[in-house]
Amino acid sequence: MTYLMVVRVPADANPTREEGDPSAWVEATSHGQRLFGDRLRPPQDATCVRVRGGKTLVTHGPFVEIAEQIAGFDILTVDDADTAVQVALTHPVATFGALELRELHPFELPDGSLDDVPYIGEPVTYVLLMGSEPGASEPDPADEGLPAAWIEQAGDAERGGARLRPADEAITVRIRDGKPLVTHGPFAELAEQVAGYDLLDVPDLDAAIALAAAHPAARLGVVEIRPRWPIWEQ
Amino acid sequence: MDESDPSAALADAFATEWGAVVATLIRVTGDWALAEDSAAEAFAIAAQRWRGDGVPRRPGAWLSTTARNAAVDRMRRRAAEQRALYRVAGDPTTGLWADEDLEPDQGGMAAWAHPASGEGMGDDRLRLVFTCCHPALPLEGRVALTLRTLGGLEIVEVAAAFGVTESTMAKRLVRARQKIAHARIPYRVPSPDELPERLEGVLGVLYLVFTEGYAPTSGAAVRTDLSAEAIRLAAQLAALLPGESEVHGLIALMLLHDSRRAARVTPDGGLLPLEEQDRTQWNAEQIARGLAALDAGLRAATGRVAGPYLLQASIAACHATSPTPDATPWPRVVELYDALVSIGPSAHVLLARAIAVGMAQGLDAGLAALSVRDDAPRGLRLAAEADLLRRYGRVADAAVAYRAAADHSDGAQRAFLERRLAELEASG
Repeated sequence: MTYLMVVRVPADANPTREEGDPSAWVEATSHGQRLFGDRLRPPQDATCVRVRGGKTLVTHGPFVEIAEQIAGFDILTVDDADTAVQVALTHPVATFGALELRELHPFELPDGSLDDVPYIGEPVTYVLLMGSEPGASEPDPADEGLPAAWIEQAGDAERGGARLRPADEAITVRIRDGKPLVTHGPFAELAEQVAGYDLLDVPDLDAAIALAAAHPAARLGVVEIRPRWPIWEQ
Repeated sequence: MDESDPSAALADAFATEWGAVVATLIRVTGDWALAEDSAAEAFAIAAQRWRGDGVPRRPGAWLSTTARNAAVDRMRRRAAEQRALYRVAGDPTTGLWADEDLEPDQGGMAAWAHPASGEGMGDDRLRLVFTCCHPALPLEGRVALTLRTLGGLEIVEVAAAFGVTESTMAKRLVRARQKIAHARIPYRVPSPDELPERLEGVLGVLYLVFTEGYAPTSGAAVRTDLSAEAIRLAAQLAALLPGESEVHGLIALMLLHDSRRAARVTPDGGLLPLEEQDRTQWNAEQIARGLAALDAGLRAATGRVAGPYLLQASIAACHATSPTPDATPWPRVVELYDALVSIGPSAHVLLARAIAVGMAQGLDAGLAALSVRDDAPRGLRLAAEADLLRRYGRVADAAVAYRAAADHSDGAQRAFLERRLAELEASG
């Protein structure tokens, strides 16, 4: 099973460098459990793309303004949900933030195969987060899946991605007062939830906006573009 | 330019060259703050030197070269500081920090467009315009970059114009520049298929700067500087994109609105509607420039659908060229509003159209036109209704509508509605 582990950190969290350092966790999970992951630039560097009435609307900021913003992500391949929970519980953010485990729910591609390549490989410069929005139109059955045109347009710039199973099937993992807290459902009951992700390698934001706007998610909801923030960068 | 007057030459050079100097520095160095600081330094040096040595033959080229030298100096100093830092830190990998790694990119510097080559400079300035107004930046950041980086206003001036502290404005600029760097917003002119939407965004920022000067959201004072700045920047944009009809349309709209500045405010700060303004106080020179810009826009739009700025400017021109309120060509105004409605039927446009319909076709037609839109802000809708009733002498009904409209409004608009009500009650 493959999971997207969304790393959520409250705005007022103030971990010491040691408390927040994920390198030991990355090392421990790099042998078959963690496929890929990284930090993301903070919400003030996020950009949202919506397509309404044929027009591309670009706005500044994340698609939902909440205290517990997405600070990073990891893609985990594990045998079962229990293992995913165990891996998440060892992540340093569990003690001051939350880890939301979302199982992948691959699309069927136009050629009948499944879009089940969660990560192709480096380089990755941006992450697209597909967001559901309250009041967004229900997807037309004809809209299900990724159009061939998008796959073609993205070409080598697409470095993996997937739709996620609904947020109410999420598992959220925290550690508080030294005790593991595992809850079913998303980390918060919001109308806006992450519904999918895509990893991109494009040279600049305009190229990312063009791909985001062409994705069906921009018509049905919103696509948030977050620049990757490699852990070694200031 | 008056060659014998250095301060006039400097003011002129500032108005015409600042944006180009900064734009090229950003392209070559990739560092927005460095570009602004170096350009400011070049103008400071000019202020000293031109007084003693006289105004150079080509002030723009002189400023570009001086700014480039200032930028190179700053980059060298920074590199030297970094070297010193690494030396102090006792970095063992000294080979890694050889001088050439920290020197400014000489290749990039050599690629510097010659200041006299007009086209390259124009491209840089357009890059700067579109990057400052990139939709991925917060609106307040776009406005701050447009006024500071593109317009050359001091941070303290921009802060004062928007009623915030200097440090708040400085933070907005820092955040905007950070987003440009972190999200990698490209420094380029949008491709032809992106251009219309992106240009709309640029014009929106300039119009917002203008209206903030014309009808400020905070404080009662009319801030002439912001309006003049918006008109100046739009005129520069028109020179760079002469084929874009909406740029001319925006200039025309701003000039025609601005021409009424002296006439639209009472001595005690109240607002006067069009038909009560003393039309002899309208600025004839601005009206002439506005009509010329409108002409240029209509020529550029030949064979295409006129955009919203061109249409609004055309409506403003109907008023500007009518010597008295009764001379207003209302049927033509209705036509123009119809065209505006077909592009974007906003509540504001529909209400304004209803008034025009009322004036052109009679009270009942106007009231009927008002009722097509129920989701308009209540205060606006009631004010439009009251206005129509008053124009047709329905004093009692108008008074009721004015009272209700005032209850749903605030600020200068409320004061205006209450004054109207008082006038009606006095006359009745």
